[in-house]
Amino acid sequence: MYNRELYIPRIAKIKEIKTLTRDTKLFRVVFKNKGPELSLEHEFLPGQFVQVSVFGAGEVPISIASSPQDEGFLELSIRRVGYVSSHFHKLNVGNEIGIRGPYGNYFLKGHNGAKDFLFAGGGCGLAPLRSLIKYMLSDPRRFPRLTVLYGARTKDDILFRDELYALRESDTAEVNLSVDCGPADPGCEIGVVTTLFKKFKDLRDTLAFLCGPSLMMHFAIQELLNLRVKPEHIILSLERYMKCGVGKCGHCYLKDKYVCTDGPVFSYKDLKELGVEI
Amino acid sequence: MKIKEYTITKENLIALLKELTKSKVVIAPLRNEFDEVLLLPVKDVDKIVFDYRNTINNPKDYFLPQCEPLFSFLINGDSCEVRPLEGQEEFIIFGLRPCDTRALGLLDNFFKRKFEDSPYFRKRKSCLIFTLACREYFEDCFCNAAKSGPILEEGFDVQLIPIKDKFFIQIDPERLEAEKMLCYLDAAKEEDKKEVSDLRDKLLRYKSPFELNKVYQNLKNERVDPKVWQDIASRCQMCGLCLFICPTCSCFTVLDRIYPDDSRERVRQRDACYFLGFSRLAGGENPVKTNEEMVKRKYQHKLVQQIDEFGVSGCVGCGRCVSSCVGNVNWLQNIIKIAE
Repeated sequence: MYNRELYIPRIAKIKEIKTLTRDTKLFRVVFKNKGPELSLEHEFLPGQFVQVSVFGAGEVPISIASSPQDEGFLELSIRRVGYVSSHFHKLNVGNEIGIRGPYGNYFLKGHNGAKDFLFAGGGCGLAPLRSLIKYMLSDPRRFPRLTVLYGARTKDDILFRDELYALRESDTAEVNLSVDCGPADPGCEIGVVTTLFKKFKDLRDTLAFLCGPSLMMHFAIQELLNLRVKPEHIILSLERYMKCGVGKCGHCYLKDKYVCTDGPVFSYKDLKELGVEI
Repeated sequence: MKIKEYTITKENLIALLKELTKSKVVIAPLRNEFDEVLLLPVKDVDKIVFDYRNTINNPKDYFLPQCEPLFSFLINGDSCEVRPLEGQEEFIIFGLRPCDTRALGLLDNFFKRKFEDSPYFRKRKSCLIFTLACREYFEDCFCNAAKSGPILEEGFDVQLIPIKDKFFIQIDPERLEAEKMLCYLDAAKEEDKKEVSDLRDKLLRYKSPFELNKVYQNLKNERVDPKVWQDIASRCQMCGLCLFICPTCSCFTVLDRIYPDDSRERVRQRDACYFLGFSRLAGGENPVKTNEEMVKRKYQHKLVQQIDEFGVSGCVGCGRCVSSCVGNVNWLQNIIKIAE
């Protein structure tokens, strides 16, 4: 764990800020006092999140958008949407923030057999998927076939646009993009998330990872089920309000679970058994 | 190891408490000018009250207060520095009721799950608790149904049971350091033990207002008439009072405070799952948005999830929420309805 005391964050410095869209920025951060016992390497797995502090404004849970193999830094994609994230957007390179974590479970656990992997992201839900996609791209033998489906509101809202376009060019993964409202770039569909699934006939052996707004996930799940993906192979990352990240504050309580410690990653099968409607 | 048993006369108990207040802060039931009994720091041991139903406040005040700092921090230009809290002094709570003692036991388990909550355990590990068992049931409370009293079998540090002209004392074998602190103890005689077991038997004969397992089953299998939820939601004012005064409710929010002298702290403050914004995401989406859903979540959490996770009911039957509800929601009557 990056922090030693449960609620006391470790100080990190902002090294780089990239504007992704009109409301989303990517922050690259490094820890300030690096001790040998607190190395960054492989400290988290894709799907986990950190509690990020803007001192004076508060703390919010943010998924890690970089890959565990990116040594020495973390990348956090932050959409300006609430009080703390708005303050976050005012920060500059060199400013210091606090980080606790990593917390929560992760995307990959015991799916060794699969060869086909599909990612369906909506809006800023691409951030945790990016961590997983980057991680999987580095090991093509284990993860040979990757398909990325991503939908945004408009073409100006597409996150990591350069990376997605480069990935599509590179042929290492299939990338399908859509925007809810046009205009769209060539090769990008116009329509809601379901349009991205039109070209598939059968995905029965595919492992699918989803993250996005609940409505988007709802429809994506229906599509996946129609394409014969098994409910236990539909893996979702849920977003919930959290104040602590460690299963104490109670805000993310969902049926019998705490999303921060039992999740944020659940299979569709798990959620159905819990009685959670998605 | 077996629970150690002694007796003490009231006179000696007062003398003992006087001894303890010399070196430690003692918190005990005290009566205020409005004839209300509260758990407060003791200045004069002779003022400690023994004839009370239960205190208005509950022990949570001393372990998860309404608002408490988690750390302080400094911002100096670009850089930030965090400062952990100072140490915690040892203290004693005297006269906690069995239901509240059980509630603390539940909080202990809750704050231990997955990660140990350091601010809670700093205080918890510095505290010795004297439980004062009840000799009767009071209006609105139902510890017999919640299995948390009126006399505890286990889960206490030191339990005092009032018997004829003295107190029967039980000490948890894991808190034997308490034994060293206690002076003036007499050996428990057979007749004292018999008096305690007779009292226990007498109290056990009272009819329990509901059967906990039935409540659990009906909630777990969603066999509750939807009218129950509609009825509760219609009268509940969503003020969160029942949650703030509940000895087992532990939800909190976290915020940064900047004080007039420019000192800064991150604090945690009690929160209530009956507040509309409790689950709302920054983007405005709210997974739990109706009063009915919020009400259901509370019943399900206390009477199913906590039983599943900790093996004990999340409601200890102290009855505080029953007697203080402004919407007359009556948690107890609702549980009885759920058990039907």
